[in-house]
Amino acid sequence: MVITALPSIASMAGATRVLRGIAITNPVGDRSLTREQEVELRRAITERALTMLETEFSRRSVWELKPGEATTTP
Amino acid sequence: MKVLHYVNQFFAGMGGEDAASTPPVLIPGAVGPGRGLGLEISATLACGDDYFAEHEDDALGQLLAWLDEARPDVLVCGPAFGSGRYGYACGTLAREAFRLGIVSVCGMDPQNPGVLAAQGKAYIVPTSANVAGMRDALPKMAALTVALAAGEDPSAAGPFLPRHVRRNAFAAETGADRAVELLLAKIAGDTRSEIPIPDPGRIPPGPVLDIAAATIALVTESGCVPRGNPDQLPSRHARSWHRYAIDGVASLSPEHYESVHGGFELGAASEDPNRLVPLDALRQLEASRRVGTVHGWLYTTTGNGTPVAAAALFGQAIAAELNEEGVDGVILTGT
Amino acid sequence: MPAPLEIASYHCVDVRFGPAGSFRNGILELERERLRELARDEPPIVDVEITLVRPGDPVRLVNVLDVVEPTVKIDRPEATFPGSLGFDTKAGVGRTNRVDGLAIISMADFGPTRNATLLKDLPLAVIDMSGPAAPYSPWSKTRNVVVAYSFAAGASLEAAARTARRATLRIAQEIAEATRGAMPDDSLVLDDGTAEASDDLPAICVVLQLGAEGAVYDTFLYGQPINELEPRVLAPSEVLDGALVNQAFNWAAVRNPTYVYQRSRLLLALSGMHGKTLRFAGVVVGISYLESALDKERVARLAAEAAASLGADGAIVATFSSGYSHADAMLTCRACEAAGVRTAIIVAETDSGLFDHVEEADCIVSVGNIDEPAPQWQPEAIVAPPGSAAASELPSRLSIASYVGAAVQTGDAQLTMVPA
Repeated sequence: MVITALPSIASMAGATRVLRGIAITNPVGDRSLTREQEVELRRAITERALTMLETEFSRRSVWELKPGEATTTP
Repeated sequence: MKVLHYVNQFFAGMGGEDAASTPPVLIPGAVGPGRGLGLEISATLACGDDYFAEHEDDALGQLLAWLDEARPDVLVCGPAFGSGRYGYACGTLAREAFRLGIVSVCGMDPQNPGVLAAQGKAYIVPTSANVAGMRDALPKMAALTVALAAGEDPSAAGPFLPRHVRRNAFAAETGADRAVELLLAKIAGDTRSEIPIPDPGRIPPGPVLDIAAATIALVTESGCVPRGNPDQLPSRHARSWHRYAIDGVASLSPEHYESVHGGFELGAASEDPNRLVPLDALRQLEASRRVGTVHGWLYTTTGNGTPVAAAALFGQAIAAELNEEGVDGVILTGT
Repeated sequence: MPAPLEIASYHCVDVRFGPAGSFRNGILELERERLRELARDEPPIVDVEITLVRPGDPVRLVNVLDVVEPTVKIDRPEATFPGSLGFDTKAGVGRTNRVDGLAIISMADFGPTRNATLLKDLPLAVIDMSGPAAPYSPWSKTRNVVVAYSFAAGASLEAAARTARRATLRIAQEIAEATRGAMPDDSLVLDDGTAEASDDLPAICVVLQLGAEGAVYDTFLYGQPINELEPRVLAPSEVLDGALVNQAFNWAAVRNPTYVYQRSRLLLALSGMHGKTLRFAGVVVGISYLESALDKERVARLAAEAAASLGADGAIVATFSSGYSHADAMLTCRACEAAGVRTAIIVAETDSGLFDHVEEADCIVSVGNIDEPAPQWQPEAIVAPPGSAAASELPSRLSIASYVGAAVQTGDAQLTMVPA
């Protein structure tokens, strides 16, 4: 699975499991948060990445960090 | 009919992996599989696969100089079967020969990164993934070569992968006028495009069945390396990837890791390289048994100005290693 | 209702130097020393060379920065290039005199300025006035006033780039002043779509993506930097009348020189069709080449909302440069389609094809492959700024990417790709 701030590019390259990252310069971090908040954010992103790895997909898909915001691209 | 043939060090009879760093050589006549083509080969170009991958500009410079001097009717490359490095060299050389006005016939597995490298500029005969398909591939490549040299319709000479050969030309109307025309047509229900829609067309890989027992590897194109960049990974146009041991490493601290990527502002990464590769978080999830094991190596390269085909070659090589080492899944971070 | 924009065109048959600026029978005379003085007034510019070149001259221009059409707000000169030169007043109102068939081409080698490390990579930018590659640049067909700047040693890159932009505008205005009192060859009135247009006609807007990435990759709106700009609506006449000025000096083929805003074929064509085959709903401008995923999504969404608020049935997304800006064009297309606005995109290609693609982008205009080699040509002379490093080490083979305006993604050129 791929974590990137540019999910459409990863999808175009053929990646099936794509999770939207925070920014190009920091896909799994956020400077504007406190240290604790940022570590918690990174843990949540990584947990979501593992969930994508466990999930069966029949087509290229892009997930958002929050489960409710999951979107799928054919 | 004048035909030149390109092969790697192995098929040129120079040796296997031990000879993979051999720079380009020009050999008169046919060598190895060239003899099986049943064509008169005026010369064979050969190059070590590693040399080509690591010194692409030098290798191409020499090979293209020879091609430009010989001006063959057709350049035959391979067959490379499933070999990524060999196929990449074949596809890249065929693409660049096309720019010189020389047509090429390649043979390789349709999944070979060389297909991407050729960018639709070569006639690629689909082959098996392994060398057992040699006997089947050679006559097909030869028939296509004869047809092209004779100026005959190549599609009558057997199957080849789709080509995407387009060139610049001046249209009668400006891009603006064409855009207005196409948009009005689309609104009226007639959707057209001047660019064929890309389709990577791959089969989705299956899920990791038991992630609590799985080994997960971290791979990145963010240029994340041990501080000091021990292998001199370049900030752009990387020609290689590297792996670094992370056994027992709890977190990518800024004292010991950095990014050398030249494609984005490195402030956030230099404060905390975990923002590029979430090792600290994955270690937490390993400790809480959410995931089995974090693989002992971090795989890294710089994805900046890297051609898609070269990147595909890195990916194929990294995937082969991970497969061999029993890795079940990968988290790849992209910048 | 605001006064419409009237564009009075004065066709330039030839240009030469003379004792005073004048325009008679299509012959434009320029007072070279006066123009040089105008530019030298602005530090850190220390010297200016002015050269005239014509279509068919056996010369290659190198280190090209920008291309500007000479224009002046003839009844209110202080409103010319508003915000950039004089008052910050609304552009696109009242009469503008333009010299048709003439362009001001600015050039400089920023090498000697500080911060030069940033510029190691500033790529080659050329225009051939004749030879096999001349057709790639639209300004091989215009008569050109070439203005080459030299800067004080130690000047900052920011100051050098900014003053080169302003000095070029000032020269463009001064040259157009020569048309005062003359009879125009042609006059066009633009009323920004306020004329009656049937609701049955499809409403079309333009989404114009702009670059704002630092000193030599910048665009100015009414003289202001746009790095904080959220997508907003402009009247077509504002764009056509000097509200937007270029300060992007990177990839020659895919940057947007000021000239393509002033003479935007897209905006002029849509204006001409208004009330006949379509309703021209307006222009949405927004920055592109955004870094964070959130910014990219937000700007795409806001651009789509602006397009929808104009009542647009369709949008044409015009972009610039390559890479992340193309990703933004694709996201904007997706957001527009989601908002019910059918979308076409204008993009340049490379040897690697498209940088990005979304499923909704099913209507794309290709303005050519910038990686394709251009035909070789040996010019008899090079026109370059003093001390130009690029002029002394010109490669024997250039690609389309080096030709100014060759694949401009506002759609002003005619290059495309066809099956071979």
